[in-house]
Amino acid sequence: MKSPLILVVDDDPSILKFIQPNLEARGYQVLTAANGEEAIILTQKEKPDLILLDIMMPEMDGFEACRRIRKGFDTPIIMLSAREGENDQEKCRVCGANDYLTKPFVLRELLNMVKSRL
Amino acid sequence: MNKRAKSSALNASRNLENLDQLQILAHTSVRINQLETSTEVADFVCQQLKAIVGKGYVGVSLLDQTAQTLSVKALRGFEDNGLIDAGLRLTGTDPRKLRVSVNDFTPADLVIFKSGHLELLDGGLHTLFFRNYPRVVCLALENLLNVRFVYAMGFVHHGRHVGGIAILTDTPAAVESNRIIIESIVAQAASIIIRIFTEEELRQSEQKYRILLEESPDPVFSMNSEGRYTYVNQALARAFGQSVDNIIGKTLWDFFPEAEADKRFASLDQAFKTGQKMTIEGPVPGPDGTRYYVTTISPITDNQKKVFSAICSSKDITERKLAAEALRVSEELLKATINNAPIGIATADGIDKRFLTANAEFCQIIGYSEQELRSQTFKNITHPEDLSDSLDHLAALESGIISSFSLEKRYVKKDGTLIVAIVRVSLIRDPEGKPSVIIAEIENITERKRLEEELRRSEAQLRLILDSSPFPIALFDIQDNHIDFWSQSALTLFGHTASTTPGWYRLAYPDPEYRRAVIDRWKRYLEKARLSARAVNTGEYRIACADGSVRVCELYVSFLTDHLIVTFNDITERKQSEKNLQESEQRYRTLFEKAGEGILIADLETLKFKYANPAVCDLLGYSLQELTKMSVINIHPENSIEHVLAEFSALAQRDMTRSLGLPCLRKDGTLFYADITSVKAVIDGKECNIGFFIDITGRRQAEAKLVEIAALEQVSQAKSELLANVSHELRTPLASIKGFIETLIETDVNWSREQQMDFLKSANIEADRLTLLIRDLLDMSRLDSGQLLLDKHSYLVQEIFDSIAGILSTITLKHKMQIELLPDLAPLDVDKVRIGQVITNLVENAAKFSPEGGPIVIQAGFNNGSLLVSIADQGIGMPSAVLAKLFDRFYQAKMVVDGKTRGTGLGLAICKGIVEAHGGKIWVDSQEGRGSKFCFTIPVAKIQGASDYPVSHKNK
Repeated sequence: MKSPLILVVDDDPSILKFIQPNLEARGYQVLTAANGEEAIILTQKEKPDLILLDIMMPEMDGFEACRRIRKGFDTPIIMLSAREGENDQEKCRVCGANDYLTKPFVLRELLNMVKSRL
Repeated sequence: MNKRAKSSALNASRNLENLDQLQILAHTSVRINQLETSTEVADFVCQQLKAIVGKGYVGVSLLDQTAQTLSVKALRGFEDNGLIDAGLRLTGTDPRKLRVSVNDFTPADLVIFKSGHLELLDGGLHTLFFRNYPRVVCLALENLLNVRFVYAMGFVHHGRHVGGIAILTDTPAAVESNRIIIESIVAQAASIIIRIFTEEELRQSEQKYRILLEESPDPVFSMNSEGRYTYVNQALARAFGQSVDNIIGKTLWDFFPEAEADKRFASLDQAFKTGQKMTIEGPVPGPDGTRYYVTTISPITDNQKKVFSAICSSKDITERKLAAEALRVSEELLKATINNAPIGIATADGIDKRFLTANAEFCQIIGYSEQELRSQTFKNITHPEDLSDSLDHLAALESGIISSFSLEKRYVKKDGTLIVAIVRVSLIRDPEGKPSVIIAEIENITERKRLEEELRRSEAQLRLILDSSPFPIALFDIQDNHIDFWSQSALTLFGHTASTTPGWYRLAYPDPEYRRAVIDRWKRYLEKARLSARAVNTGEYRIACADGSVRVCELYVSFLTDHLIVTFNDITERKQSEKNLQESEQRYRTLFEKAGEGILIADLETLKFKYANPAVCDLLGYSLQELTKMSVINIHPENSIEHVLAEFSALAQRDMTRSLGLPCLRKDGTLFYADITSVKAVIDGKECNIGFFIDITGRRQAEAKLVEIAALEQVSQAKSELLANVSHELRTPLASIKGFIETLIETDVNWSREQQMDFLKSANIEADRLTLLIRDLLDMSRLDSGQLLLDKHSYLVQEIFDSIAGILSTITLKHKMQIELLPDLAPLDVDKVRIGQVITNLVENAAKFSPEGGPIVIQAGFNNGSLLVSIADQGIGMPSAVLAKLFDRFYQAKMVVDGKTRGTGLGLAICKGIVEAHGGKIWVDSQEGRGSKFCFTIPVAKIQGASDYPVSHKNK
C-alpha cells in the first residue's frame, strides 16, 4: 500500500527541517511548501492525504489558504500557529480546518494527530 | 262597254254580210249585258260561237285572280268532247308549270294549252284573234282532237290575264267568214267578264278592308277636301263618343274647337294640295276628357293623280305624352336641383374618366368651367399626394368591392390653390355591368377645416391656459350635473377628479356629515353667485385627495350661462404656515429664552446691543439691562477688536460670518473663547447682527481629552499588536528548538549520528536567533519608551567605520565591498556602537539581497550640515509596495533567501529608531531587479557641540 502523502506548509524553514524527517521516519511521504499559494498549487497537483498548515505566513496566511483548499478538497487539514489568539481555534474551524496545534507543540501530539487523521 | 268593244261593234256593222249574223250579234249584245256572272258569260259566249262556227270546239277559260296564281277557275265549253278528260289525265301538276311547259312544248304539257291557252297571250294582247299558233301545238291538237286550226283570244285586265277563248276547228272558213262577229262577241264577253271580275274583286277587297277598319282599335276615317268625314270606323266613334252615323257627313268644326279644327284642316288641305302625307298631333275632346292623338293623313288619288279623298289614321298617344311630360318635368326638376345644389356634382365617363357634366357649384369649387372640365379627369385636379388613395378607392369601386365611397382629399384649383373637400363617388353601370358613369359629389370643407382647426387651436389654447393655471379649475354643467372640464392642476393637486357633481362630492368629501354640510353651504353660495356678475368666494372646504391627504381650498364660483366655473384656491400651505407661524413664534421665543447658546443681537451700524438671551448674559456675566447699554467693543479684548469690527463689516456684505475661537471678556475681566456665528437680519427696521455664542472653553478641553484618549488607545492597540507579533516571533524559534529536541527524545526512531548532529546544530542556530531576537526586542522596547541610552561622544566618521571594519568584511566576504569616505569629515556627536549597528545592519541586508560577487558601495559624506551615509547594492531590489512597510516592525520581505540567517524583522525598525534618536532620517531608494540604496543622515553637532564637547578622546 502506498504510504500517505503529507503536505507541510510553513514559512520558517527550521520548522520544516524537523517535521519533515520525523514524518518520513514514520512512513509518510512529505511535501513542503513555504507559503499559501505554493500550498494550493501543490494540493491541486499532488492531492496530499493530509495538510499541516501554518497560520502566520507572509502574503497569503493559513486561514486564506485553508479556505481556498476547501473549495475543491476535503483533505484533512491541521493548522499550526505560533499565535495564541483566543479566537484562532474558532477561525480555523470556520475556514474548514480539522485540527489546531499551538507552537511550540509536543512532537508526539502532532504525530498522534496525523495518525488519527489518516 | 269599253271603247274597244264599241269600235269592234261598229266595224262589225259595216262588215255584216247577212242579217242572221246581225241578229246574232244584236241578240248577243242584249243578252250578254244581262248576265251576272262570268261563268254565265262564258257559257253564253260558247253557245253563240258554236252556233257561228258550226263544227269544232269552242271553249272559254276563266282565271281566279284573287289567288294571285294562274289557277283555272273555270273551263267552259270543252266538257263534252273529252278534251278536259284528256287534259286532266295529262297534267296533275302545279298550274304554275303550265306556262313554262307551253313555251317548252312537250306532249305531256299539251293540256296546258287546253287549259292554259291564256299563255298564248304573252305580249299583252287584250283580245287577239290569231291562227298562227305554234305548229307543234297544232299537230298535237290535230292528233288528239282531229282539228287543224286554233283560234285564240285572251282577256287581259290591268295587264293581268283573266281569261281567254279558244276555237279549235277543222274548217277555218267558218271562222274566217265570221271573224268580225266572233271578234265582236269575244270583245263584248271580255268586257263583261272583266267588269264582273273587277266588281267581284272590289267587293271582296272592300269587305276585307272594311273588316280591318271596323275592327281596328285605332281611329281610321276618310275625309274629303272640305274636311267632311266620309267614312269613320268604330274606334273613332268611340273616341268622339258618338255613333258612326252621327259622324259621317259632319265636318271637323263639328267636333273640335275652332282653332284646333282650323289647324287640322290646314294639314288636310296641305295633303290634298300636295298629295303628300301629313302628320298632325293634338288634343281630341272625348267622353272621358281630352286625349292626345297623332293622326296620319294619307291622300288618295284617282287615275289622273288627282286627290279625291284622304284616309286618316290616328293613334292615341295620351299615355306616352303624359309619360313624356312627366319625364320632362322630372328631368327638369332634377336638372334644376343638380344645378342649384349646394354641393358640387359632376359626372364622368366610366371608362376614360373624363368629366361629362359638372354643376355650377362643382365648377365654382374646382375653379374650372364645365367646358374646361370636359377635357380633364379627376386626376388632373387631385392633389398629387392624394391621388393614389383616390385611385385605390376607385379601383375598389370599379371592381364592385364597394358600391360607393367617401373620401376627404385635396384638390388643386385652376389657380393653383389647394382646397380640402369630401368627395362621395358612386358608379352607374350599363346593363352589361360595365362602368358607365361615375357620379362625384364634392363638398368643399376647406373653410370648415380651417374653422375646425382654428376652433381646435383656440380650444387647445384655452385648455392650455386653464391647464397652466396653478389654480385647479372645473366646469360644472348645472343642467345635467356633469363636470365637463377639469384643468390639469386639479388632477395634480387632488390626484383624482370626477365627471359628475355627485361623484365629485363623494370623492372630495367622503365623510357624509361633512358632505351634507358642504352641499348646504354650496347651495347657499350658488344663489349668491348667480346674482353676482363676478366670482364669489364660497369659503373654505376640506377636500380629500387620492393619496388620503386633505387639502383646504377656497372655492370661487362664477356663472357662465348654464355652466359653473369653479376655481380651487389651495390654501392648505397658507393655513399651515399661519399655524406654523404661531407655533414657530412660540417655539423661537422659547428657543431664544431657553437656548443654551448665547444669542446677542447688535445693531450692525452702531454696534450697540439690542437684545440678549439669558444664556449670553450668563456667559458674559452681565444682566440684560447692562448689555443693552453696551456695544460690541466692550466684550472683546483689545487685541481682538480689530478682528471683530472686520467681521461686522464683512457681515454687511454677506448674510453670515463665522469666527472660531474668538476671545471674549467677561464682566469680571476673565477671558473665554467662543465660536461666534453671526447672521444678518432686519429687526425693527434695522440691520442687525445676530450673534450665536458657543463657549468652546469646555469643548476645547473635551477635544484635547478625546485626542489624548485616541492616542492612548492607539498606543494600547499598537502594544497588543506588538505583543502578539513578539509572541509569534519568540514562539517560532522556540517551536523549532523544542521540535529538534523532541525528535531526539522520541525513541521510536533511530536517527543516525549525522542526523542527530544536524538536529542539534539546527536547534543551536534557532537558539542564537532567539538570542538576537531578544536583543532586538529589548532595543526596540527601549527605543519605544525613549530609554535607549545613547553613549554619545565626538567621533570622526573614519573612527566609526574603523570600529566595524572587521564585521563588514565578514559580512561581505562573497561580495565586492567598496567604502568611499569623503575626506575632512567633521567629528560627529554620536553613539558610535549604535551608528555602527545601523551601518552593519544595512550592509547585512545588502549582502543578503544581492548575488554573490555583487558590488556593495558604502559612501559617507556631508550634505547640508549632515552626515549622509548610503549603502548601495545591485541586488534584487524591492517593489514600491514593500518599500512602504519596510521600516515597520516584524516586516520581512518574503523574498528572504533560504538558508541564510533569518532576520528578526526588527532590524530596519531599530535602524530607524537609532537614526531618529540621533535627529537624522533614514530612507531607501530601490528598483525591483536593479538594486537598493539605503541612506541615512546624522546632523553634525555644529560649533556648539564642538565647543561643548572637545574632540574625542580618541585619536583623529
